[in-house]
Amino acid sequence: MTDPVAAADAVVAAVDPGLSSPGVESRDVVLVTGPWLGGTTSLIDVLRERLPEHTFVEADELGTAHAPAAVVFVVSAIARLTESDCALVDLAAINTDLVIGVVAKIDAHRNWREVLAVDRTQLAARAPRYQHVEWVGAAAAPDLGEPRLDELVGVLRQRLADPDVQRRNRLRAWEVRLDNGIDRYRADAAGADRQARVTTLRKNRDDILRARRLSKTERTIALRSQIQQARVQLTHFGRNRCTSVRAELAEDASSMRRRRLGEFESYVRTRAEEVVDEADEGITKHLGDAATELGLSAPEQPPPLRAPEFSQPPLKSRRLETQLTMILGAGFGFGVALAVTRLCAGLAPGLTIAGLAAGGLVGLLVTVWVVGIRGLLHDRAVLDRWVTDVAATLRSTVEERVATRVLAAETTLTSDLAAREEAEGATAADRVAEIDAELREHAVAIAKAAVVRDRRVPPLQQALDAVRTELYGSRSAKARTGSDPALS
Amino acid sequence: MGLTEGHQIFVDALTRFAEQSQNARLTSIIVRIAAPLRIAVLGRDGVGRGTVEAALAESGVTVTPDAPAADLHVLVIAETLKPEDHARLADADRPIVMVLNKADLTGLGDGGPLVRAHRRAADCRALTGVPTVPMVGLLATAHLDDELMTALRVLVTEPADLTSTDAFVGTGHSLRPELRQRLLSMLDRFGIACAVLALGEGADDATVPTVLRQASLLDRVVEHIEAAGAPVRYRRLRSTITELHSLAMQSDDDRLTHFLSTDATVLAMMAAAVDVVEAAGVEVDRGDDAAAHLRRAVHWRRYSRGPVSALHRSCGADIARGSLRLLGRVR
Repeated sequence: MTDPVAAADAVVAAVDPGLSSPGVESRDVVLVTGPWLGGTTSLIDVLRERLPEHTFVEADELGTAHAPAAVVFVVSAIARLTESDCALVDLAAINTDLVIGVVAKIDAHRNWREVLAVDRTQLAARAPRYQHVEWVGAAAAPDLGEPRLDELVGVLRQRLADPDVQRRNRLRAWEVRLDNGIDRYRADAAGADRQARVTTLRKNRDDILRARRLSKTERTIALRSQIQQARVQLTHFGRNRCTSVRAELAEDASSMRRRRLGEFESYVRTRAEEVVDEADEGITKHLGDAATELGLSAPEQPPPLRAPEFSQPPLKSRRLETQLTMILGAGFGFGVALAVTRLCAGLAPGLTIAGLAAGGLVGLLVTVWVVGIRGLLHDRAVLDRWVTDVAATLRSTVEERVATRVLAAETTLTSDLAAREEAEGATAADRVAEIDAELREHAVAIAKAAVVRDRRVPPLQQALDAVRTELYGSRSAKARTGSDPALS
Repeated sequence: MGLTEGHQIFVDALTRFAEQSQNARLTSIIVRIAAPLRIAVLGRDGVGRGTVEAALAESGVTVTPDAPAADLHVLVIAETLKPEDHARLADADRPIVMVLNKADLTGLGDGGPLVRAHRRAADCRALTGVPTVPMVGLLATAHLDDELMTALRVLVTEPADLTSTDAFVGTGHSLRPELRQRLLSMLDRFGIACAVLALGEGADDATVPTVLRQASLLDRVVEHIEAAGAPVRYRRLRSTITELHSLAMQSDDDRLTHFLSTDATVLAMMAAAVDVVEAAGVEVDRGDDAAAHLRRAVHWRRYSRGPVSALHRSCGADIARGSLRLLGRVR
């Protein structure tokens, strides 16, 4: 008699000589397994006693690459099979064809026969390979009476003695391995495991490009608005400052005393320089802040401003006016002297001489006073006009300064921004290129996998068909090629 | 004070108030708050979901087939927690009570099936944190006709083979096998043993259903459902009171405002809050003298400011408020 395992391997090798082994190790043991509290432990104890010639193991004593000779699947008779129980059968019987279903605890459950029938139907509906699973009832450790295992023991004895079982087990292992292999090739070719990565990459790529577009627009708008604001605010500030200085100096000029006339000019010049410096500082600070807000370095400080040029106040050139004042003052003094003299002569005719002297004196004093006052008032008026001129010059200087510096800053910041855009654009382009490269790699890998699939799947499928023909007979193998249980 | 009492006191008081004040707008509010909690029974196929549902309906619980509309879920399991049951527990979005059905089939060792079932229910509770209670659904819905009663009396004098279900029907006995089959499907071995034991001790026909009902543990299941429903009832009560406050404001109804601050209302809220915290396993001092009221008020005031859930914070505040009202009454 030929080796049943070799016979099974020969079926596959006939299709593809490269397939030598399903990669599992056949072990001459019976796996007893089932859901928790299903009755596995007590059943295995009794089976070891009743069938000492066979080895019974639980699931944890068996590795994933081991193929037991038979799988005894134990479920409680309390309720029908659940999805999780079925998943357990799939896992336990992955390398083994011979599965025996056991409904345990039949001593306690009055409707165990219905549960058994439902379990049989349910498992058969799950996959074609379970259609011929034998189901038996058992009571391994009843509370009262003797264990009832005869049917199970009989079935196990009979099936384990069947020489065809080993061949079918081997074929089942082959079926699972070939099926898994085909699935893997197909999944690789479909790029199933790469799909998530590819989606993420595409999303990243879109995000990068959109972020670039957005940030470019946002920055340009921000720069323009900052510059406009700076222009408006700084001009406003400069004008205000000039106006307030003009008011202050005009007040000083209107209360001017003759003694301080000389100092006033230098005082006005100092104040004007101060204002220009202040305005300059204000511009530097404001532009620095704007640059910081845009994330750029502050524009360079230009060389300090040359102080504005002012003419001297025109206090000296007033000859005609002085002459006129002198004549009018002298006339007025003469009139006063005449009036005083006449008054004295009228009141005391004896004192005419003294009256004449006093009248002359008073007339002289009045003349001097009138001429002096008129001179001071004239100077004040001249200074006031001069202050206005100075303020106007100052204002135009400050405005020019603001305009020049803001323009310079705009140029600097725009070129800085362009440089930065350039750098970021290069970084983004690099990143997009990297992503594109990876996407290409994935596409190439998927295409390669598709080629591999086209080369490898047909022989595997043929081998699988051959295995299935052996397992199910020729008619059903065709139907199962689509691996759809509903077809069979 | 007992379970559901606080709720009932409030409903009664509100109904009386509505009759006196002839306020038609209160009617719909009363209907809503007086409606019983709706229970949906869930579970895998074959665990006895239908039996538990019928037993609960028979014992006065309002059972609805519409799970999403139910206030409370009852998850029926048998023998063990399967991954499917775990999935249902994980999906639960409302209070849930687990019923370990077929408790009579848990095995005979270690003090009998019910003791083992209680232990297994405690294990399930420890594992999932969901209140779990054993039940024998079959006995809760058993109806014995005269023929079955007569058969049970025969079994008292002539014991049958109860070692297994097949043996009970299959072995020779003076009762017809069909009758034994009927008995078995009505009561199963545990129910037959209980009934026979009761009859042997001299019970009459009328007592046997009571004995079976006791053995079914249905009352404990109902108790657990009531306890699990306490938070739902409390929340309903709270939202009703909020609604009434806004109604009183809108309609400028001084009498309704006064009703909401009467001792009856405040004490009803306290009773509902006590139900909630007791259902969660926290003890409430039941003393009825001034010292006890003060102690309780202080304790629950502190409790409501401790690290507890929003529900318990609110319950603690209600208990403290009620205790102060009681203290004011005693003084």
